[in-house]
Amino acid sequence: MLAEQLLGGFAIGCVYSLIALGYTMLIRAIGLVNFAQGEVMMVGALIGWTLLTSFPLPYPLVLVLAMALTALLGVLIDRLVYRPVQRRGAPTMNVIITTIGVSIALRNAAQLIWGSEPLRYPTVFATEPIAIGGLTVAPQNVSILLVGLAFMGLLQLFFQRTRTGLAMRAAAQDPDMARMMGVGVDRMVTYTYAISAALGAAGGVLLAPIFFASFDMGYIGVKSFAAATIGGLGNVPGAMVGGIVLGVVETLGAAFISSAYKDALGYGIMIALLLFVPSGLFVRAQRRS
Amino acid sequence: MRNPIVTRRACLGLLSGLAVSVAAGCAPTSSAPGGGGQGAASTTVKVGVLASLTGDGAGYGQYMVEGLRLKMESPETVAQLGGTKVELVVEDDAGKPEQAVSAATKLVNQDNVAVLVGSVFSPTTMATQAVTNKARVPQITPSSTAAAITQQGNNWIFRVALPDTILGTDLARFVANDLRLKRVGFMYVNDDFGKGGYDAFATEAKRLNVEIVAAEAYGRGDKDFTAQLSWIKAANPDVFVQWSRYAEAALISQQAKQLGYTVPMLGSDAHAAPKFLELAGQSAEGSYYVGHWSISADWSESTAFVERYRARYSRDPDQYSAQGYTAAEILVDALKRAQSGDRAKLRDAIAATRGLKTPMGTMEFNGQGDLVYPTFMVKIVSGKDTPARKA
Repeated sequence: MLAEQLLGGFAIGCVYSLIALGYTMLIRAIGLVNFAQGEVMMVGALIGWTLLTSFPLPYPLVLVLAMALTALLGVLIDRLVYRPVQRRGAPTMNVIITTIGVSIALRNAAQLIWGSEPLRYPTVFATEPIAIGGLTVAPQNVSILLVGLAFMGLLQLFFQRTRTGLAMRAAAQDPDMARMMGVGVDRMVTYTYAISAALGAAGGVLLAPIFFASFDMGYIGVKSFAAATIGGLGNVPGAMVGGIVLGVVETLGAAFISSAYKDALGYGIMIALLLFVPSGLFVRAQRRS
Repeated sequence: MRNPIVTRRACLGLLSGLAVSVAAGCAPTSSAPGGGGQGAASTTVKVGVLASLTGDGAGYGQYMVEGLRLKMESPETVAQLGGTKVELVVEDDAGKPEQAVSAATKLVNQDNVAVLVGSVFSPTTMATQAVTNKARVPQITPSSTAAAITQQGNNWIFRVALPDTILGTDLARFVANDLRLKRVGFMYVNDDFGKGGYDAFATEAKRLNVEIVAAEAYGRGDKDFTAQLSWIKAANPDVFVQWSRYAEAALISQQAKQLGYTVPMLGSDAHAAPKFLELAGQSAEGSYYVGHWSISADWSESTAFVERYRARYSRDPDQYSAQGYTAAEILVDALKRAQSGDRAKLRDAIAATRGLKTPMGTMEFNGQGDLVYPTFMVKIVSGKDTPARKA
């Protein structure tokens, strides 16, 4: 039973990681906590539902399309809301409050468009459990784990091995110096919004076949924020590890301590960790002071 | 009691509308309309409807109001009631007790409804019955199942649904007598609804020597139940019973199948919502639930209701539509006998319902405001309801 629970914890943890990456990348790039990240994930899941139920598309293609469309939405929100607010000289705290406003607007818009009932994804993962040497393994958990890890690997490759990735890291670390070296910092921020929205959408489309898609599923964003905090806000590998730690602790806590305190256990671990390691498991990449 | 200013305005409205029952309209306990009198020779009875039309229980409320409208607005009902015109005033409570109380207060005091039909959920109905009891307005709840609702010493509350104690008890009997299974794994939502079902089931199970080998609770809105389901599976039950609302019920059903559950799965009347089958998909195949009514009921009142409902709304009715429709049947029958929109007379007429044939069976109230009729046991076969009890 331990192994089955562990696998489930890793799978849900991967989804937390994907969403947590969205938080952390923005914090790193422009010092903004985007509380609409959970709602962006929700919109991604619902776009995926519409694509799957309206067109005869395979699930992997839907995953990619939903990510692309949601990335577009992320960029639009930045252009129409966050940037104008920032350009008018609003302090960062006010921009953060604006992200809360955006999250409420997205929730209500989704409720108007997709209704208030949960929506079921057509069966995408095999529903019959697979038996591997006495273990029963839910195929969807394996799929989520593999796809989630693949995305995180790709993201690391992108940051380490491509010019754009390098430019994004440079722009995040030292915008002025990057600008002098010919990096379009504004464009890099736009990319950051696009990628964080796309990762959120990936989390949503992976999650929806198990938990259904609905306008109120964005609350997972709060947990993912906790995951990003555990890993160290602004640290990319930290967000990945933080998400998995939270997923595993939560699932094992529910299984072996008490399922009634599942959420409390997750957040309890976060508080305990922060008491001992105040800046999270991984130290945040220093921005120029 | 009524505000004197409102009463004066009501009388003025009646005079200008040339209504007949001026005297009745101004009597303090009467519920004649505030600004009514559109038809010169008819009385209008206002019926307040309170349901969750937004929020996560919107599906239940919509079906209930549709069923109610189908009966109240049918040409046959209008003909039966003759000079008495019925006007529906619908309010949304979003499934929240605080909103339900303010909506009920508005219906009772401002709209001066003669009777209130609603609400959908037990907590909202529980909260509003204090309002209707105080104002002496009869209230009929179509679907609230908490046993306590009719145990408050309130003479003005009636319900169409069976209390959850009866549903839970009947489900335990079905496990013991029809399925002949002995080891139950039970899972329930940790609130009044879930605990009510669990307690009723457990009490009857004990009496019938059926053992509950594992019982696990979960919080409303939870999505991942693998921990509880693993514990229950480890206790090796030969039947799995859950008491959940439909969204959680569907998730539990899917996750149980993924964990390799092969034992029969049973559930509460929440599985009667079509949304349950839609969400649970293949995982619901072969499962059972205890309900108030099913589309597979074969008596003529039920099949006629299904036909009419499909004709008007182009989709199948669910249990909540049938309950809304039945509440309307009870009300129309009472209005015919009371021949008046007076709140007290209506209450007495509702309480005196006898041998009324409805889609849900033949209805009669016990002294407490509860109807007495058998539960309906359903088995899902090829994605459809079928009667599960052998006749």
